[in-house]
Amino acid sequence: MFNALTTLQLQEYWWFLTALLAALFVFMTFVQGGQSLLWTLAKTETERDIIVNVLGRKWELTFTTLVMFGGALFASFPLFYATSFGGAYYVWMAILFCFIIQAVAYEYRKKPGNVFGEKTYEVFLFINGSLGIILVGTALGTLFTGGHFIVNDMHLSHWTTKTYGLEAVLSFFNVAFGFMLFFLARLSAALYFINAVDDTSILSRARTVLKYESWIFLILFLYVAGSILTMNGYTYDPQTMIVSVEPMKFLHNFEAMPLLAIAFGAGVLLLLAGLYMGTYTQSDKGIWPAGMGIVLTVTSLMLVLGYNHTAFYPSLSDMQSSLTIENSASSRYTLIAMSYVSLLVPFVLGYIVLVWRAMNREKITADEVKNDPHHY
Amino acid sequence: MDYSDAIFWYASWPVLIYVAYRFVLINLKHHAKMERLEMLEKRFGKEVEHQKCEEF
Amino acid sequence: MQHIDPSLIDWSRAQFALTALYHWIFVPLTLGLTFIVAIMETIYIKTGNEWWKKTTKFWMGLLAINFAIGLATGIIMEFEFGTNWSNYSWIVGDIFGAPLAIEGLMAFFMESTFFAVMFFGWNKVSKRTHLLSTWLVAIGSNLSALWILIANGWMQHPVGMHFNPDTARNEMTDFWAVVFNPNAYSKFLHTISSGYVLASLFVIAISSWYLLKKRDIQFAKRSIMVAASFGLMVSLFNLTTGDESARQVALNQPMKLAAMEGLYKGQKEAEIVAFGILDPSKTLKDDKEPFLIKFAIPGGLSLLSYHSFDAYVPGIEDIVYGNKAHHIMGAAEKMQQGKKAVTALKAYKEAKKSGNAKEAEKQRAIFEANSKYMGYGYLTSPKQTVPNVPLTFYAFHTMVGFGTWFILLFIIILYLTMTNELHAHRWVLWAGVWSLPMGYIAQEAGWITAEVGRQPWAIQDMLPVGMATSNIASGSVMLTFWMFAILFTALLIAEVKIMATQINIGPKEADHV
Repeated sequence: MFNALTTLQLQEYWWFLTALLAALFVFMTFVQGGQSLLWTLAKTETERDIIVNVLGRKWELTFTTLVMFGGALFASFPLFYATSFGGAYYVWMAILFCFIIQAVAYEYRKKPGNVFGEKTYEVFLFINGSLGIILVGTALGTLFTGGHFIVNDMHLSHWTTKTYGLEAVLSFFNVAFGFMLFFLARLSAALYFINAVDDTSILSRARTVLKYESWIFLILFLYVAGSILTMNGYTYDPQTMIVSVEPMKFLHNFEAMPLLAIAFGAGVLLLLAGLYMGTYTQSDKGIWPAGMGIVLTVTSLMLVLGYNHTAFYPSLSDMQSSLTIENSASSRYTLIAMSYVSLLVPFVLGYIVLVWRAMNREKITADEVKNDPHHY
Repeated sequence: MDYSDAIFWYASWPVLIYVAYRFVLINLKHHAKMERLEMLEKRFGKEVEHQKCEEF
Repeated sequence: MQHIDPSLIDWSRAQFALTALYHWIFVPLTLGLTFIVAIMETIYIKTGNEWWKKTTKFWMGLLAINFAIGLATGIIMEFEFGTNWSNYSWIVGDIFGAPLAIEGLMAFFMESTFFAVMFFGWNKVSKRTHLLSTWLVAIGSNLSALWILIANGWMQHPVGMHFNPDTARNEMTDFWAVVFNPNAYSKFLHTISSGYVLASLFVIAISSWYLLKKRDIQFAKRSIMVAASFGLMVSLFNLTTGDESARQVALNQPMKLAAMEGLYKGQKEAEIVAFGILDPSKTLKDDKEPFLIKFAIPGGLSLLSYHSFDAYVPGIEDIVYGNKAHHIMGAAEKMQQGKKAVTALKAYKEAKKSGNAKEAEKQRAIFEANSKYMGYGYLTSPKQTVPNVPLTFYAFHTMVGFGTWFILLFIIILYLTMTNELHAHRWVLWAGVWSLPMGYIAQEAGWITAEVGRQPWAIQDMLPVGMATSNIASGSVMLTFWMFAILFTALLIAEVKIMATQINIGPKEADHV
């Protein structure tokens, strides 16, 4: 069945899956947002335990989504994997370090004999939830602003600055992108706590967070979205593959693909609705419209970045080295084989949803955490 | 291409788990008998061990 | 091609080796202990005896401590292919990326989703759903081993692909050939069963320690019964798959086999060294006896690797310098062919660029004719094809020696448990305790054999490690190497300490069911 698709359609299908994974990951970063709110929302040890345990049931899913995102990129767009990871070395390494310390923190935090003490592991969680997400956001920002790399005739690549990716933080846009994701993660965390926790003081603090930080997020979001719509983008000629600059490329892409514009708009509205529900109503369901909004917005942004003959990873050192979904993709054979594997996605999403519902049927209380011998 | 060798080898994995599981069960049954024996020994002393044994 | 700084290659290898060795401290235990707890929980469900629930939970608690750090080191391995082996990622990513992605989709989600149920779902889902979750965690973690070992097996014996000169990379042509690669299934089965052996040793060691301390007697005895039974079955399977693995090495990586056995000159009825000390001053073609001391079984190597007593097994020198009598092509000749392929590829690219179709076609034909040994074209001396012989030899023999001892240990312990005499034989209990570090050493030795033995190849005969690295400053890799080394060591210390504390607390106090 996938044999009938053209190579470009296969590449677009895989870019869609990558975009979806990125979107699901951004949604799931409520775990990181929650970690960064640990000391904001919790003032006592019991409250901290509740926060850590609520997140502790979900952190592996976020982690796995990130790993899956990497795996999907490797399988479908290996040139991006090679160019960006091997070039923007320091940024990706810094991100990795932020995730290593997260993986042990939940399990080790409360265990006797953990050598470094409870506080250290909480700091690990905070670093992962703040620096980790800001760096991921900064790296995602470079998909719009570009990186300093050259790809040679043999498709082997190298970075041209000795800072190996750290220079990305010099771009205001990239950093704003990072902080936007950071605040988004905190907001969705607050919404998630409202949904999953039964503890009045944590909940009232979560609503306060929503009340103030929504505005910070919105300002950052307006700046980032405005920049994207007005910035220069790289376009390429589908026949010759020659890359050139096009002013307001992403705005043109939205015009060319109105469905994505609608999805983007709907996503933003849903997110706002979720934030409103969390801030100004007593509803505990705000996470769902917000979550759907995040997935829609991020997916449509990623699609606008890769579709319609756009370079999704512009090179600032050599424009013709810029990566597109056509020049960085796997072979037709591999894309087809992997497309068959992708038929498992609905099945995987299905059991994740089932398990989620079973595990979140009742809200978590201080008593439950205390009485669970295996609590984090 | 003929992959029957590979398929045979891969199929041995679940078989291994099943066989190992059965083996654990059989040995545990034996072990449970012995635990009872030990308990009886404690209660009645070694003398009656042989008579009691026949009950199993 | 490009000039690569040799220290960059070394630091990149060092960093990858460090990550892999640390990762492998934690993974095998997860692979096996998940099945052991799944079996224990099944017994709980079958008998309804709460005692088994407590026991299951205790071992599960230790599993969780181990699991977290395995995950942490695992994510780095995946991304390091991109960060440190960026040329590799392009040159073989078309084949290599697929199993990694499938691993994520098929295995990681299963593992992480049901892991949460296994630990926090005791009172949230039904007993049967919980049991199913535990089994799914075990199956999921082993499926992830399946896909990563398919990827690794492909590096050792690349199949199902061809080199596309237009994209300058290898492209997949047969997915099933990659999945059913003989090096993949033999590695997968040998690796997971070694994990089961380690998990059995883990349970035995801790239980033996309780028996030595005369505490938690019933818990320890029953746990030992489960572990020794499981251990005996899986270690016999481990032996069988080890034989199959070695046979695949003999067929596809003769140099590795020769290094594993310290075999410099090829022989018919080649002997297998049961124990030996290599002469450190031995060099290629110096006609010295490679061993200072050895105890060997005549014909053993021929029998094991080719299942025939009089089979000829090529030695290191035959493979490096060639052996006409046995139709073995030397490395120098392969290098010549490889260089032809590399030059033709370059000429093909240039001809294409300048629009000279005829020249391009000619160069392409030359390339195709010589591409089989393309990887040799990047080597500068035939001797580079020889891996570190002592390291490969000792690692292999340590693994085999320890593995054999574990089978014996399982038999002894099982027999003594059956006859209820185990507590009376303190030396067996001590042997049970000390076999655990031996198990870890055997695990690492196995990977050292597999990976050191195939140097200098990142992809056997196709891509030497020197061509596979990212083109970055070696100082950057050195910096991250030390950061990893410090962080992993710190986390390992914490892990061991936490584990020891939990073991010391024991099954009674650790559980408040």
